[in-house]
This record gives sequence, structure tokens and C-alpha cells, in this order.
Amino acid sequence: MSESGHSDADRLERRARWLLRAYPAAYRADRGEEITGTLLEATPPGRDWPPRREAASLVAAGLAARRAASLRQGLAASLRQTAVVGAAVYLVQLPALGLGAVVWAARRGHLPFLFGFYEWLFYALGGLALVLLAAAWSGRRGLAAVTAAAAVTAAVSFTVIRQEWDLMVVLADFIGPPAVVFLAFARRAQRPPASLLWLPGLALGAAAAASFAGSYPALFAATTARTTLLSPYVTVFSLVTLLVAVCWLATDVRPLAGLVLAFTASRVVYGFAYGRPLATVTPAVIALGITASLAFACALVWLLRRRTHACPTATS
Amino acid sequence: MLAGVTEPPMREPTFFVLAALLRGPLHGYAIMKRAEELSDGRVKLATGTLYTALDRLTAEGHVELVSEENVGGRVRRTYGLTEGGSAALRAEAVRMAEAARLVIGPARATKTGPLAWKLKTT
Repeated sequence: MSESGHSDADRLERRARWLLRAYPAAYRADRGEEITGTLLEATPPGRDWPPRREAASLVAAGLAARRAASLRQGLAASLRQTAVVGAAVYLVQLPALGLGAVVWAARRGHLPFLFGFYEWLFYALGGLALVLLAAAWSGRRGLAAVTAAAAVTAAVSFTVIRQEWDLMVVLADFIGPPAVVFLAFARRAQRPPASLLWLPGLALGAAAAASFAGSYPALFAATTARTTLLSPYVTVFSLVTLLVAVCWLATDVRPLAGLVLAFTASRVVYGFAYGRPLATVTPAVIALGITASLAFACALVWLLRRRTHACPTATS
Repeated sequence: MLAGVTEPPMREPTFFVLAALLRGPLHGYAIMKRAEELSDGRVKLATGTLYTALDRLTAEGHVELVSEENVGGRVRRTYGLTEGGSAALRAEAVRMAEAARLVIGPARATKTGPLAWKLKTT
């Protein structure tokens, strides 16, 4: 076999494996090698890309297998995972805010302000938030409880020593609600798939991009008084998160449901935290929004359930 | 599911996957080639479609894993028709033959086997 022929085959195999990522990881572990082999046999020699028809069918079959896998686990597990995904998106507000503040200060040359006592504690809380997220996502509730306890200890000791309430507010607004959700709903056996990690990741990335682009980094614009229901998503970057969640509806309701959950929770918590419960949005609008999204989610679950009969079941 | 309700007609790729296995167990790519041969090149199964069909047929008990071997460092699985699969294929062939008889008139299709209609067209 010639040199170029060999590298073509290697490239083709690499691309075939890349396409196979459309399948759920468990399925891939079981059938991945076999399907790769068949795909390589079905590809005419000398090509370094699978034929377009093959690629499309592989991606479609992979997404169908994902849909079947997420429906097979039942409603209770799906709801638990949605709660964990939503809480994770909510939680990344804190590191996003911290990052935004650092970028804001650095741009204005206020570097010394970044290394004060309060700032270090703030960074520590942001780091703890990420550890908490990792612990909850992998279903380690013990580690999540320890991390949450460390955050509480830090905030309480700061309050006692400095007689200032700032960190308690951070704790109550940003870490408390998701920590409670994690401790209640995270399960090792029913942890969300790693592929859903993109949602908090994208939310964090969107906030980071927004802060580098110069706008205030609040993911949900929770810290500004004059916000409306949609204003947080007016920034293009957050719209990207929303758009991806909507596209993901093709196989999975959980990302969008989690996003709606995080958004609603942040509005409610912000309202109470600033003494103006739901002041910026009338309760009627919130109630309507929640009802509409629930109805939408239920309709989708029903629709997807009907289609499971046509879906493959992974052999285990 | 209601008892006594007849199964919906088999989809064409499913039919040809089962028909490909009539002469004996085959592995994935061989099923694709055989289905294409049997249908005069009309049914070109893509890899994704093939494995979706195999998964479903295995779950329904129409197809079973016959053997696993290692070819060039890669697992190659061979699939075969179960008795239930043969019966479903035969039932589908009878259904199609009856439908054909409505149009073409009395034929010997049901007597000469499930692929008789195919032989007639070639």
C-alpha cells in the first residue's frame, strides 16, 4: 500500500470515529468498533471522507439512539437530571460574575483591587462553586455536601470577623439555591450525561465572552435593577446558549428545561434578595412564562415518547 | 398492545435485512451488499440505518447474534435469522404476494417461496 493510501485510510478512520460521537457513549463502547469497521468497508477505497449519505445516516441514527437512551431511563430520572442541569447553569453565574469583575478591573488598571482580602474570599467561593458543580454532576453528594459546608464556613467566618454581610449575600443568592437542588436531586446512578456539560460550559463561556466584549458579565443580568424578562438574553452570547438548547430539542428536552429552570429561579431569587420580589416582571408574566414552558415541555415529552417505538434500543 | 391486531407492513429496509439472512448468518457489511443484490441495487442501506434496523430486530427477537470474531483488531459480529424472524419474513412475503395477486392475478408466488416475486421481475 502506498504512503498516501495509508494516510487516507487513517484520516478516514479518524473521521468515522468522530462521526460516531453522535451515539451515546455507552452505545459507542458496545458497538463503536463494529460500526466503524462496517463504515470503512462501505466506503470506496481512496476516499478520506465517508460518503455524505453514510455520514448523514450515522448522525441521524446516533441522535435517535441518544433520544431512545434518554427516554428509556424514565421520567423521574429525567426530571432529576433537568434539576441538576438547571442548578449547574444557575451556579456558573458566580464564577462568571467573578471573571467579569476581574476583566473589568484589569481593563481600568485597578489591578491592586484584585488582590484584596475580600476578593480572595470571593475567588475561593467561585472555585468552591466549580468544585460543587463537578461533585454534583458526577453524583458525589458527600463531596458536594463538604464543598457546600466549606462555602458556608467561609462566608460565616467572614461575616463574624469583618461584620460585613457581602459574602453571606453571595452565599444565599448564588451558592445556596443550587447547592440545595444538588443535595436533593443528584444521584450517582442517574447523573446527567457528560454531553450535557456543554450547557453550563456554554453559559460560562457566553458570560466570559460578554465580559471580554465589554458588556457587564451578568449571565442573567441579575444585579441590575432595570431588567425585563428577556433582557438577559439580549446579549448575543447568551442567545447562543438559548439557541443551542432549542436545537437540542431534536433529541432531548433537558437542556432547554434546565435553562428555563435556572432563568426563572434567578429572577425569583434576585427579586427576593433585593427586597423587590418580582418587581421588574409582573407575577402574571412569570406565571404565564412558567406555565407555557411546562406545557411546552410536556408536549415535547409526549411527542418524543410516541416516537420511541421507532427508535433503536441499544443492546447492552 | 391489542391482541389480534395484525402487524403493520414491514418497511422495505427491514424486509431486505431479514431476506439477506435467509441463506445463513452474515456480518454487517455483507448484509448491506446482499440486500443491495437482492433488490437489484434499489435498497442501498447506509451503515447507520443498518445498525438501527439490527438493534430493533434484535430487540424484537427476529435477529440474533451468532458469532463474534476479531478481524484486523476489530470486532466483527455475525447475525442470523431466528425462527421468529423467519416467520415474520414469511408472513410479510405472503402479505405482499396476496397484495400482488390483486393486481397481477393468480400467481404461484406463495408456492415458490418468499422471493418468488423478485425472481419474476428479473
